[in-house]
Amino acid sequence: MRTSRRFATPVMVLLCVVLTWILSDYQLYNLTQVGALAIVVLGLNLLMGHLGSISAGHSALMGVGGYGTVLLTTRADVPGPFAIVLATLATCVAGLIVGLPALRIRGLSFALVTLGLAIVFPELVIHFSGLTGGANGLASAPVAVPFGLALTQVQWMYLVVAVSLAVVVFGFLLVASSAYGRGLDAVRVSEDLANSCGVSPGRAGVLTFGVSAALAGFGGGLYQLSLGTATPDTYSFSLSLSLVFASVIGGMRGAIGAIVGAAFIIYAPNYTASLGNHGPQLIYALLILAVVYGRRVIELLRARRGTVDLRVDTDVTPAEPARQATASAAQRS
Amino acid sequence: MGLLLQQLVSGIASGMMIGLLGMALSTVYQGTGVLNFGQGALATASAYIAWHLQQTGWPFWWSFVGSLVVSFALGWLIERVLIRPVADAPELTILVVTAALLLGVTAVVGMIWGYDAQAVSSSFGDHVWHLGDAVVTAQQVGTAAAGLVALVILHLVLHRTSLGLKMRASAMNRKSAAYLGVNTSRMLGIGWGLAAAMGAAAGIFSAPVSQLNPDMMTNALLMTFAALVLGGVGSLGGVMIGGVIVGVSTNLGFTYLPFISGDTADVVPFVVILAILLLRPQGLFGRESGARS
Repeated sequence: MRTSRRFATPVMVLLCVVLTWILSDYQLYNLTQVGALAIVVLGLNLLMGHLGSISAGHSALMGVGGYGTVLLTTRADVPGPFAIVLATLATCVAGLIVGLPALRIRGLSFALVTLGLAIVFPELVIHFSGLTGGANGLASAPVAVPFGLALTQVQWMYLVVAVSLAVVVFGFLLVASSAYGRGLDAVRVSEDLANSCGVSPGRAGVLTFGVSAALAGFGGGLYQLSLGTATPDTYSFSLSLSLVFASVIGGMRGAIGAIVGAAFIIYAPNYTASLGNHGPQLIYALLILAVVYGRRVIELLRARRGTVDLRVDTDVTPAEPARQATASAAQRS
Repeated sequence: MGLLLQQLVSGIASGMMIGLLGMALSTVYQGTGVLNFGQGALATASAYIAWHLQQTGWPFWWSFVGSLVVSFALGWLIERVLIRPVADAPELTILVVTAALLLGVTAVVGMIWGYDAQAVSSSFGDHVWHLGDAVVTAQQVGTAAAGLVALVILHLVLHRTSLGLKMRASAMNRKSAAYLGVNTSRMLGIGWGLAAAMGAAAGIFSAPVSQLNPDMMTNALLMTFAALVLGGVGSLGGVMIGGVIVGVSTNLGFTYLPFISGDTADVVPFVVILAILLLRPQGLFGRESGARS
């Protein structure tokens, strides 16, 4: 498993690089967006799948990265790569500030704060139209292909995003299996458990939100450069929901899942035109329900056959092991 | 002075509707322990149902009652079919399901009734009172009165009937209530149904002001959450007062703060949510131990 993965990764990266000269610019453009969003979803996976917290505000964080990159390249003439790095740092700082309340409040209350962020961000962009171009949007500077390489702008952006994604995936896997990553899992399972293992849930929450925000800013900057013009509508609350759903559809924890989820939210709208403006959203909703209830349906079928007792109790407080113990005790008797 | 009075009245009227939707959220939260992101979308669907009934020739109050009944059934059904199977799952899962509800219901409403905003005539007539240089409409007075009536009815149901006693018991401690012979799963269904009916009233009375469109009540989502956080989850009257505070302060913000305008309507509720969660997480009227997280 370990060795096969070690070979599989370089082969996949090589394959992605070769695609640059095979696919059309339009296909590459779509893949570029998938890659950029996958970076954001990876950050969200760290937060949702590992820490067990939810963020409805990642559209705003992506927006900070996206608008930051465009502002730096057009108003301050910063070269693209530096602009993205600076925007990523800025988003990370923003994330740490937004994450600070997580020291005191958690769960649903914190989700509310991030929801507010997602709703207020586009309004602020429109309000400060002098800086951001308001509702009409802000055109980004064209991306220059460096070193005189014989590539179109789209091909170059695709390569940049492919390599960035590979680096982020590698980092994500390292972090997820590190002591810090397992600390996050401990917080998700039980805050008391985490505390007793020397992991501070509050500090882990703020730090993870900062890391997750940095990835959102990075992905947002790349997404924005490939997109061209930045508009407030791009970074609306519905993008946040799409990102959360991408994470859920991909399984919330793995790296491949993040890419699959990102691909889903980029490609799904192409096939739902007949369902009206909100067609993609309807598909997301149905798919989410399928993901959530799929396992439940299997459990119910098993219960029919008498292997699992579902009528244990309706109280939510007992931990999972206790309930399993009750179920197995019931079976034994 | 007239401007102040006018902003106060319209703030109270819209705040009452925010409070009503907030009370729906609170009812669901107390029963199921989850914030229903889809509550606003359901309220929009209810407003469309009432409008649809009116288009087919029903008088306003009949279509109002019809929509309330349909909404109650819808809320009950959603609890039964979608929420019950994941009741024991982590908070995150239920939250994602209600978010899916928000998207799904909005999309279905758009598919059935279209995305163009529909102008809805005022449910209380077009009478206008002039108080000095302030203008108060019958719609505003009627909306505020309807909010009060809903609050009183809900209070009576919860505190003066045996059904309400059972509902409060199963919200407070589901297991003990079940041991005492309360059908707790039925109480959950009724709670969701009641919440959907409250949301329906909020949606129907808001429609003439905000015009009927699929995103109508979703746009009020943040204000509703602000009302809920402000009032404290456990206290229905508190949530109503929270709604009025949010409505009035947003309106006054429009008028008197140079930074706030139509573009930045949600800045005030956002600041309210942040401040309350950091300074007084249980809300202005909530009990310290009432909140679950």
